[in-house]
Amino acid sequence: MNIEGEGKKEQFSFIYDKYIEKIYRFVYLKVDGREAAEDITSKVFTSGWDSYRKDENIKNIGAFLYRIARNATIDYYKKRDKAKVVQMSVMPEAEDQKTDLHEQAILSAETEKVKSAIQNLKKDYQDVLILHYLEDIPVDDVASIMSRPSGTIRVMIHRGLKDLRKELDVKEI
Amino acid sequence: MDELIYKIKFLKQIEPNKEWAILTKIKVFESSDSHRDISVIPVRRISVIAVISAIFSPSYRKGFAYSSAFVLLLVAGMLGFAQRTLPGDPLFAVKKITEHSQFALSGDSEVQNSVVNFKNRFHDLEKVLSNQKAGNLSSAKKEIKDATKELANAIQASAKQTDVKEIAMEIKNNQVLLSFFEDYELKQESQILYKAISEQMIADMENSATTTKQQETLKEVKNLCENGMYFQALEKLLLADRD
Repeated sequence: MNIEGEGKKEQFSFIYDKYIEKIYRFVYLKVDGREAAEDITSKVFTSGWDSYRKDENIKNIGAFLYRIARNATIDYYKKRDKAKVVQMSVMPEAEDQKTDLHEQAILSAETEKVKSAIQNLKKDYQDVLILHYLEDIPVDDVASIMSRPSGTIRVMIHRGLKDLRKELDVKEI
Repeated sequence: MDELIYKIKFLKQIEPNKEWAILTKIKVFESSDSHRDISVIPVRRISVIAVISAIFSPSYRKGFAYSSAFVLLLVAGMLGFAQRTLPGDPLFAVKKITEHSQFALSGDSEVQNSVVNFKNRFHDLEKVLSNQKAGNLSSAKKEIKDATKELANAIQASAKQTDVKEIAMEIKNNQVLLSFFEDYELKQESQILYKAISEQMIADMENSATTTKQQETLKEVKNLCENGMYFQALEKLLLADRD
């Protein structure tokens, strides 16, 4: 790799260190378990690096990575739902475990409840709540990630919180 | 609503596995590279034929000659196999003995040999991670800790500045190595290494610093070292060297 390539690699290395935890957490909260989260996160950064080294004019690398992550989780759901259809037709229905036993041991009971509640929300509501409240991304940047107007994002945040409260109240009963 | 937001923020405790994160980083960059970027000097291989030829003399009896050949081929096979072992494997000690023999015969300086040893152990650790050999990990970590200390000691004893600067550049530019130092309980050893390199470079700078800017840099660097910030001192020294 030439000197320019090495420079880009070093830059992306810093970007990786900055976002690995955030992207992983975003993906983990949306998929079924650590293995799936690791697999998708790995693909996000591979794809991100591929784009970055070809074109450095990515204005907001964080938003770019989150967009890839969103699309990757959408693809994951599509494949998972297809697999479930096949599975149900030929095999006894398997229990849909959102978190495996190992992760349950690590996460506190309360965290597990919140995670589970978030996973029961509409996908878009999940995204806005995770991005805005958990990852502290401003509304305008969330809007950029989700390709929606800022006003729409604010409405989605409000509705997402309302639905999340209902989910958590149900779990506490 | 505040309580709800607080509950969401509590999810920040979700973190990826550190080893997985480092391994993934390697794989991300590997996926685009056709060649490895890490400058590892390959382990020099012993000429086994030369060893056999030297030992084998035509005056031996046939039977003894054949059995000796068999034993030597067995040993050669073992040595060859040992080259591919990793820390924690049964024949890894054989690999290290082979490497040290090469060092002794090479005529290179102690620093250069320590660098090769350090790079080999780093390469071993990478292989352990990429092959996900959890059983070898603690041995690999121990090996690289020892190699780091050995390199630091060799640098402290060395008078040649060129060796030290080259090592400093390699370490600074190797993000994977820096991640290892940060994440693999190697902080203490890495600090010893950074300290050794910084002290050598400071000594060199003291002899050659003439301009006001150089004198100021020297003062800053010494201050960083006094506060235990050896890596930052090293970065400053390398920048100053480039100027």
